[in-house]
Amino acid sequence: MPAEIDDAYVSLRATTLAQSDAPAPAEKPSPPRRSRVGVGWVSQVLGKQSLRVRQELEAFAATVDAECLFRLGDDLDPAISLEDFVRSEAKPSRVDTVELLVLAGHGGGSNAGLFLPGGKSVKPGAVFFGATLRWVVIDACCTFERDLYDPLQWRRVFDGLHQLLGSSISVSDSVERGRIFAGYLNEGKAVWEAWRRALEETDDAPTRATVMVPAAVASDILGETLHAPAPLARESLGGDFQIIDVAV
Amino acid sequence: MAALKPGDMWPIYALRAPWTADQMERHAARFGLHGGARAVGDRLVWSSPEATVEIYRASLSFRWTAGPAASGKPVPTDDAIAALASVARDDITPLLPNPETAVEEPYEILPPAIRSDGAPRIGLERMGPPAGSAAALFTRPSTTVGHSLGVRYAVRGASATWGGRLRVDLDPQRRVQRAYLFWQEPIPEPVAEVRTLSLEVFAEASSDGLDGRPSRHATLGYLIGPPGSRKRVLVPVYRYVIDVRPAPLFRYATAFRLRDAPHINPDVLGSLGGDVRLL
Repeated sequence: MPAEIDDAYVSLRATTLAQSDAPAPAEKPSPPRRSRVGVGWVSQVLGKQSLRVRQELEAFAATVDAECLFRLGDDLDPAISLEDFVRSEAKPSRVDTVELLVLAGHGGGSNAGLFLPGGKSVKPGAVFFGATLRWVVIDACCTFERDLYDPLQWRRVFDGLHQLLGSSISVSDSVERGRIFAGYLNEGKAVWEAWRRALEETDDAPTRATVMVPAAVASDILGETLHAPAPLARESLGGDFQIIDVAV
Repeated sequence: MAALKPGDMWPIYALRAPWTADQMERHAARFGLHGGARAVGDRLVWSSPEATVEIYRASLSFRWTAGPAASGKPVPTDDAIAALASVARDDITPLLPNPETAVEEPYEILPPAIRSDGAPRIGLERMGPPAGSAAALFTRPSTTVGHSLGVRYAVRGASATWGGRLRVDLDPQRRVQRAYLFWQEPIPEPVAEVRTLSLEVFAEASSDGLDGRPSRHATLGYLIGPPGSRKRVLVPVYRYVIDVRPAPLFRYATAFRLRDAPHINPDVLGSLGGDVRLL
């Protein structure tokens, strides 16, 4: 049946030509791409299971209107390492595939950052946040502690990142916080506003919501929503940084 | 915590039912907003050029946010929030130059059943930008200044902290920019009582979880849930601190063990909702 094949080919070609002669149809707006998120938690403190962060972040992943590309936790994989959570300078990581990374665990003091198993921590000088990544939330105590070290050290992790969110003092762990944060993100609240509200509604004691942003574009960045990051050139993300720290 | 002994009895309160749409409408009207509510997530939202009010269905909680055409007037009306605005205007504002100042001002805010044993008090604590060399980094031209208002009250002679949250944020001109009240109103009569624990329980709890480091102290109060979550009962809860250097951990535990309170019917407790946790 070669003839039939030829006929089919001609027919197809004719259709294609006819279409090309016709005025181009109006381009359909493509549906907005779902944002991609990842979550990681460290529930152990001093080698003992003691934080409810897995519940918090599982609820976040289940609620947020986004594609959750990974869930990592020390109780899922006791051998979890720094590189599983974040990108070090030399080694790309899966965080390079998402826009929003939410980490939770224990932190504080002069070590400045989220404690990981094995004595490491997510801290300035050890990690870099960039590539696709726009927002990192560290739900742990004292990420922006200012009495023991300079919180502006965190500028060193910005490698294309827009916002680093957390708290400057102690926060209580909350199984509700992830769900509430995701709920406000789904509503289209700005990422910063959603984080601030999530802390307001779930911390059992007065605490502080904190965000660090490149100062020159702070107003653009603070209005960003999960599905609409500010279209900023990478070179605009350097320079001075600003930390906004509000009581909640 | 003063005068709290192991074995003391503390009340569990039931909470009022969630608001109806009609009740929420009436509440929004107190803020000068009428009709046109939008259902957003777990709340109804009224907006005008002057303000936005969000009222949570599950509780008596709400948020007030100044709009682009805000007049700068304090948050209006309603008993609690009017008091809050009054406190902000008259008591907080003079304190602003001194970030270290903390005061307590008595104010009638709690339902009668809760404040039966003593005058409730609102503790005011300035929580603006920190003092010190890094302070400039934590400010911006439109900096808001927050004030935490934790409500303290007395039950059976012991002081306790109410977990409801009140906050007012003021702009540099000391106008109210944001305010919220997270609150769930107890039914006046307690539905059950629970027996308090000795602090040794918390020493056990901390040693079980964290290498035997002792808890520093424990306080007893009523914690409230997120404004969008429906609770049925308000259960007394201990808050204790575990010393996990370099940063402490805060832990919460219900105030009783069932075997310490044999007069409580577990079926009754179970019917009150999922918020009761037994040690």
